[in-house]
Amino acid sequence: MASSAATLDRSTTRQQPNIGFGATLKSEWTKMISTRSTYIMLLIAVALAVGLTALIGLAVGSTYDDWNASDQASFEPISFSLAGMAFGSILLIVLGVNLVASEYSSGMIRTTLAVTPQRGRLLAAKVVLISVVTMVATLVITILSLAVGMAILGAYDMPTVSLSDSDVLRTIVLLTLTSPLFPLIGATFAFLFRSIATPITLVLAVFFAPSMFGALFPRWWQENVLSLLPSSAADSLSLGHVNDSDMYLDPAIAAVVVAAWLVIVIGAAYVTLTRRDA
Amino acid sequence: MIEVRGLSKHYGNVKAVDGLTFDVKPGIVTGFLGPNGAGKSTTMRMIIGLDNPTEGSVTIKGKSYRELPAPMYEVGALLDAKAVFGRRSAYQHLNWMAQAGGVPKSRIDEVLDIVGLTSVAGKSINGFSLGMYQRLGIAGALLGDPEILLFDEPVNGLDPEGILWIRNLMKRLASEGRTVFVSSHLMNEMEETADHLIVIGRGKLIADTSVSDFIQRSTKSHVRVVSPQAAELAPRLDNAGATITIADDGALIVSGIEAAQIGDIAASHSIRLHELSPQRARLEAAFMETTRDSVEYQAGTPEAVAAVFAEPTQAPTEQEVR
Repeated sequence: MASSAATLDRSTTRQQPNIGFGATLKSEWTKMISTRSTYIMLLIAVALAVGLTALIGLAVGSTYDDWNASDQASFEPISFSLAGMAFGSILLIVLGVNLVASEYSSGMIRTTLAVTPQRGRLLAAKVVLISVVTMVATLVITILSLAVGMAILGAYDMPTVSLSDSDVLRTIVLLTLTSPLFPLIGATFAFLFRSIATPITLVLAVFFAPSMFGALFPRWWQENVLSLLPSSAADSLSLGHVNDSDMYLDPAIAAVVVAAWLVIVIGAAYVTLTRRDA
Repeated sequence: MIEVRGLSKHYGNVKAVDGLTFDVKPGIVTGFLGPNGAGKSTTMRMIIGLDNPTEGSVTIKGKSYRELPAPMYEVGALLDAKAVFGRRSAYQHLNWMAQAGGVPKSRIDEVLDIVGLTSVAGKSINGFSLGMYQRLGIAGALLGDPEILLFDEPVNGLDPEGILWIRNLMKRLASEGRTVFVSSHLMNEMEETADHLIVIGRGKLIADTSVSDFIQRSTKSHVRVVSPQAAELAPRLDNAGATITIADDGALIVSGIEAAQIGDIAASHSIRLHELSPQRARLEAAFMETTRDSVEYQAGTPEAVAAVFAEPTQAPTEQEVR
């Protein structure tokens, strides 16, 4: 404590630093990597996605010989290898929501906003961080899933596609690029609702409902309404070249729809963050 | 220098802060005093841009907080010590703050040393006591070596040693030329620490004055006199111009003349005195006098008001502990 007085003395010539987006992003990165839950969620995401693909591969492989000819003909190894992907995506959505919601549950948002009062910069840093983390995780998950999936299918003499095949590479790149959509929707919902449960429930409903219940709707609804939901728009971008669905859009239109959803939710988060009391 | 101008915050029909105008000056500790629910925390949140004012403005060296390019270098605030994410170490917590505020990493060790948390820097915040949370919050406030410091109820829930430490720290920060603005509902705490007072009640400004002026102006001091011959003494004091009331234990409460004069009068009439004690008006009494009409949830009697401020050194009420 003896040295305290000296360290408190303020030099009058002290220069203030230039603080910009980089400082905020670096700080958000530090926040993310200094909590254990980040690593746990990322680990579970990878293990769940790859593990489920492997399990389903083993189950399907052992029964493949009993399939009838038309089922065997319509078997699609790429989308099959990504069967566990959705479960990994859920964990990435939870991670995205948690990176914002934990600020509110702990009350730390008030410290965060005191240190970075520029709301737009803080929001942008969260968006970039969540996007990058999700994309890296998705890249790892898709490559591992495809590698494991093809290895198991190959072991059962089922149809496989080489990992260097252009359709495989395209799938990896497109899935990676579209992966931040739902974690970002979840994160912006967390800004709006300031909790973890509501955003996760809402975003999972938006994420899963079309693929689970979409086929129950008349075709006109699938083509003109459900296709505009973020999940079908993102799927038409990432999987449109290997799958087909009435809910899929033309890629260019799908890209616009995805962008529009992001603008809406991020815009809503920005307005809320600026106007509402913290 | 903090400049508050016509600041108001309404929640529906409730005026939590109602047209406050005052300055907080550098080089002294300014106490922000008011009963629970008077609007102190809301005002402090508006100073650092967390809450938007309904009307009016707060500026820091002429700028609103949200416009400050490097806010940590201008203002350090401890508003809510518990508002940290617990599953992180103290060092990691200060590290993200330093990075966001553009503060060099070396400063983290300095502030940890100042607040005495160096030995637990690597420990998870979860296991911290309330006093350690307060120290960590103060470390965060000091990171940018700011000219202005805000503390909202900093001694809440602290042990005597912690209270003394915070008092001395605030005085030292002010003596270094900084602006120190500290809120409390504890009158005796302000009497120990503050040089100047901003007193509010029900969101309105009640006083903006030095501590000594506030005490002098708000209440009259009096002298407590105990005498076995009180009945003989009272009329003589009355003749000398004193105002006399009788306390429950039979003592005379004399105001209007000095203790020395009372002693002389008694001596000249050979009246024995067992006690002759001047009662200095406490800040607490002055405060109660001034805010009598502005206490929220007032039951309507002076006793109810007194109850709000009874035993101020005890643990704070639930309302103020987050």
